[in-house]
Amino acid sequence: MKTFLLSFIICLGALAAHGESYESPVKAGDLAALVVQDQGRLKPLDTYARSQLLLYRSKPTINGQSAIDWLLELWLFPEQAYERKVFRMLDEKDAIIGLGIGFNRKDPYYSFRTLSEAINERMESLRQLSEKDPEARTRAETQTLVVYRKVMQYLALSRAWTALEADITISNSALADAIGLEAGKAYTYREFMESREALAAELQALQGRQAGDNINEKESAMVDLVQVLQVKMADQSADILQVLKPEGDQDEGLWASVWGIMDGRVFSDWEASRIEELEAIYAAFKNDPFADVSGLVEAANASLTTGVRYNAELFYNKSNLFLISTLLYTFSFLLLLLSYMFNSKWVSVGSLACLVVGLLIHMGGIMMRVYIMARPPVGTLYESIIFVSAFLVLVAVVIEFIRRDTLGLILGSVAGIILNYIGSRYALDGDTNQMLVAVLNTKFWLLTHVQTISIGYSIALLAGLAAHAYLFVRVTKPDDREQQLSIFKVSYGVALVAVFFTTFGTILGGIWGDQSWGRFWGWDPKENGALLIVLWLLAVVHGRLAGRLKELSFSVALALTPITVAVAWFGVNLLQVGLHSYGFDDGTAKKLLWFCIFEVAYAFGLGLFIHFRKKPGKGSAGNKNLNTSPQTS
Amino acid sequence: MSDRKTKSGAQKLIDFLATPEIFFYTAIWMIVLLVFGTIDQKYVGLYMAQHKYFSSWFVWVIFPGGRLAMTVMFVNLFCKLVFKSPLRWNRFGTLVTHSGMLLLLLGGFFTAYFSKEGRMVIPEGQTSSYFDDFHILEIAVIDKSPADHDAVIAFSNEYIEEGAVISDSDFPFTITLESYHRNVDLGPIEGEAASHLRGAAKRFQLVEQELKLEHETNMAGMLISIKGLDGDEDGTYLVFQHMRVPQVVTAGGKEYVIELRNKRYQLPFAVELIDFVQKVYPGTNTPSHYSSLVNVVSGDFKREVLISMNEPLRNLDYTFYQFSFFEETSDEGTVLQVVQNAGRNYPYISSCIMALGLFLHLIIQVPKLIVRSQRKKEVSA
Repeated sequence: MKTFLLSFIICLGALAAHGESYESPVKAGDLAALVVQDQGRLKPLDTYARSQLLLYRSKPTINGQSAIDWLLELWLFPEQAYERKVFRMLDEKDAIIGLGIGFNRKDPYYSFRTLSEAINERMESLRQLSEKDPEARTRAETQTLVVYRKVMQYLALSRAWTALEADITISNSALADAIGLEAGKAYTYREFMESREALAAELQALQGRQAGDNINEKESAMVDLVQVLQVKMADQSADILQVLKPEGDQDEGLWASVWGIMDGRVFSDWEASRIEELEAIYAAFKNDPFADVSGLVEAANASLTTGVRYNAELFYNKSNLFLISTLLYTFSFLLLLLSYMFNSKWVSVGSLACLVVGLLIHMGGIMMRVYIMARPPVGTLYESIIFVSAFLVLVAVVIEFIRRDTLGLILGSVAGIILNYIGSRYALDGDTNQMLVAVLNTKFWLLTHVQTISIGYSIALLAGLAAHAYLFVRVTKPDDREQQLSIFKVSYGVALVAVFFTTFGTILGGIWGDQSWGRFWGWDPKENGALLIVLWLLAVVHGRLAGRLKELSFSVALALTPITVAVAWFGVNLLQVGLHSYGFDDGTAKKLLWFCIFEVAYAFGLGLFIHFRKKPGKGSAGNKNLNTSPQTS
Repeated sequence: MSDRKTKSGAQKLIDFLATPEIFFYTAIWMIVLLVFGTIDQKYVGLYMAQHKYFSSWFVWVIFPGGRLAMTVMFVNLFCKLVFKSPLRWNRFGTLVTHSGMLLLLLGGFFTAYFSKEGRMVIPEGQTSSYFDDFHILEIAVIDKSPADHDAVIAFSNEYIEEGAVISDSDFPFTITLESYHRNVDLGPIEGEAASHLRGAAKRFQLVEQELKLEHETNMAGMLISIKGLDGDEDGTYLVFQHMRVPQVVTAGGKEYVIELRNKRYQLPFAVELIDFVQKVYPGTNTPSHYSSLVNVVSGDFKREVLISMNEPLRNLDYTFYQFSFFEETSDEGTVLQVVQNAGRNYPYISSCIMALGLFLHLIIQVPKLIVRSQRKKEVSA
């Protein structure tokens, strides 16, 4: 056992150290703090870069390089970046094979170059595919379009700031004089556009020339310039990344992208200033990819009038608080195992310390999100997962402080690890700080109903877990009636608390329904899911009171409670009907099914084993008269 | 045992009706209904599933439906509360919780039988004083002859069935429903129309369609034969929901409009839409806010109110919720959900009572269950 634990810990360390590291040719530094508008809210560029990288790679870093450095490299050295294997295509296997690129499950990473070349060869069929009825598309076709859109978006992202680069020069001094610019000096696209009238006059003169006419050097330079500008203008489709605040005091208006305002307009002073600020940042990096741009970014952010909490968000992004808390929960669990092995009080105290510190960090993460978004902690599916996880661990810690027999430690650490892991998978979908649709956009109901029902979920899960622990102890320590009974009582007590929160939360949901769309109850899947948990818990508790469920059958039934929670939480989203649906992915159904199978197998497997096992010997006979009714004990 | 022998039949019945076993088994049956009723929503839609599993007394003829299950729960709870709840301090929480639950079920009963809900569509700048039921239909016979108003007589429920006969002293003709379908499409008549066909029925026929999952998007249609009209107008007519050109007939020298429409409820006041506003988060299609600025008009008195998501308008017994909107080339407007519900206060009261009861139960019971482990010394030894 000791060897097993040791190798387990070593493996964990090895996993943490795993992964090639990449020496970044750039260092974005404070560029991360530049405020941009994305998905309806203002956020630091760092968050934007992370959600973009997540889209392509399903990870917020690439070979140890941060997302913001990756984005800057893509802008400064696109040719080099195009060769990097950024795209993770594990879920798009059929599309990759269909595009004629070899698929390797062990190395499902592809460069932009590889993918774009394959796509370029099939442009016509892709165009036809995009016009095909979405319902009629095969799985491979849908995937192919996903790949196509990702590659196109990547291309646009890489060209988003090309208008800021001072890379247009005029070598011919006559032409330069005519346009009013300096020969040999590099200009940005904007600076050229400011001389658009002189440029148009030159162009008109050139257009008057007949084919076969001899052209002079100035005209030849003009032809070259036109070609350069045409190539540049091809990037106009890179209207991505809203980084220019509209004029006025309102931060909430629609921001523009760099190419979005290069539409031939005459820039206002406001627009010109905003663009110049970005040009300065770009030029600094072009000059030195490791430049310190803190002052320039601060100047660019100075036009903001409302308090965008981007520094808090940067800290939140960098600190990985939920990962740290998961690691601490894991340490807590490992120390707990060690304390069982060595029967040491101090090791179990260490385990408790890890759990408590992990919980504090976990709650800190949630509080930071509340501060950043200025709204209650639970509004999206992801937020509900991390909140339920934290609350569950909190109650487990309270139980541990009351009982001091490590039951709270085992329940809290196991649940914390599992739920935080599920949360971390959902965090890979992109920016987790999302804006809420109109009906959810209410602080009052998020604070009351959503909070209460989330607490209900966590305590119902805890009751189920306690029942798991009870069954486990009955199998492993069949003679220890005292411990069995003690865990049984805890599970019953927690189930009563779960009844309170789930019932109250469900009724509050009904009242919200009555306030929002005029009916208390509409048998919508999400409502039914919540009712399922309530009815299940009520049936289990009343079954016990009625004598229909004995100690063992009660625990088996209670151990199945997590199934009802999972169905209400994730399962109803699979149905996609009603007003509450907020997320769906293909794999969820399968994972949910496996979870249900595991839970049923655990509860019934252990329950049947205990029931049919050879009755314990005389050793436990003396305990038979222990009163097992929680009501009268 | 001797005690039981002396009990009367009524007492035995009450004893039986108050047992927690009844709740246990009913709750399990409700869970079964919930699971099937929720999954079936994917296939038959929310409205149909609700009617089949939850608002019905029986499912597939023999199985108890949601309404029966909840009635059984109500009776069980009532007997338990009235006859079998000893007034002991440690049972006080349970007693209060059960009272709250009883009230909640009672509210459900009132809502199920006495509430009206529907939608009110108002284009910007216009006024409306009625709302349409979401699902229930009616046949309206409208006498247009009075100068200042339309005289309307409407028939719903049992009149919307094949074979139903509609007549009234206020109009001199009789309508018989020849055929009726809840969802139809219109198809052209092939060949020459039969001689008894009149109006739109001369050119179109009803083609029955499968019911759509979103029940309110179904378009009902019917063939009706009318007798007692002027001239040679007697014959078979076709009417369907949302007809652009209403069916007009003449009888006794007066014109009547025959309409198949969603059941219409008149309000004792009117609502005028001043402005509808929809906002999205910048750069996205995600709506952040909807609102309707309206005037509530009662006689000469006008009251300006802003209805928005989660902030309805309440006036008399009616509540108006921001439900949807429409946008057409010529005009835009709001769609409000209107509800008149006699049971709407019950959940508010019962949730307070239940929360209090459950809380009392918890503070009485839980400290006895989650206690310091006796094994602590052993572990730390």
